[in-house]
Amino acid sequence: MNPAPPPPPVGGVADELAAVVALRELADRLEDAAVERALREGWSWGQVADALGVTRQAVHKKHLRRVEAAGIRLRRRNG
Amino acid sequence: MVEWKPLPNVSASMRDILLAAIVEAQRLGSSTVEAEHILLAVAADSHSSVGAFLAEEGLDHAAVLAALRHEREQALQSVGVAPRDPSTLVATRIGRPKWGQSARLALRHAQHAALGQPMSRHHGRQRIRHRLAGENLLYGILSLELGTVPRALALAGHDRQALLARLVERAGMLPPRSRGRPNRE
Repeated sequence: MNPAPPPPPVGGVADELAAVVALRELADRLEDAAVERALREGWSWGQVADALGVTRQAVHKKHLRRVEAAGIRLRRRNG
Repeated sequence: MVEWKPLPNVSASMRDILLAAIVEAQRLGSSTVEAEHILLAVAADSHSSVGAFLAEEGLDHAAVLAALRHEREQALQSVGVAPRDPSTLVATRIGRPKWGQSARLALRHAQHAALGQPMSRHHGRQRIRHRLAGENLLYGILSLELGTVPRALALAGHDRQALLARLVERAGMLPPRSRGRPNRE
């Protein structure tokens, strides 16, 4: 017996699954860009974390190395 | 200089294309290297036989890039999200993107295609594999039935299976049906 043909890659639920991929990619890129911009504008890590609804440790762990590489002057110990 | 974290069983000639795919992923701000980035890398080398094949099919680097952008815009619009200006998404990146699942799967298909290539009486299998590295990678990419690349091709009006058949014929590869399918994990 032949295996079932694959579903079409476009249309129906394939479009919804592709939207998940696109939204995830957009959210990831938007987070990186927005966190970097907030820190450049003088936001503290704590403020960025509060705005994102995550812990300061989480946002620090995810973005610190990248932000340091960007040469952003960070606010110290105030958030 | 792009850092190379090797994938299993990758030939030197395939490696050059995969290194270019990493650069394509970085250029597009992607955190993973996917099949579409390998396709861009293959299309970018217009002097290679496989790059020329893609150009003849209307899929040079610019056309592939446009098709990929259109696919993302369509996907977002299907859930009511307008695409953003890419300049608002610029961020500092460090390290190199990781290998994504679609790239791994395309590579597995490509390696499967390479194993099916007949020996040359004069040059042996290695030489054939070297010569056909780009063709094998494109074969692997075009073998993907779902995901970003088949969507982008379909939305741009390309018949993926017809492209695959023309590639096989042009490169003198064994027809896909005689090779069976690699396992999916």
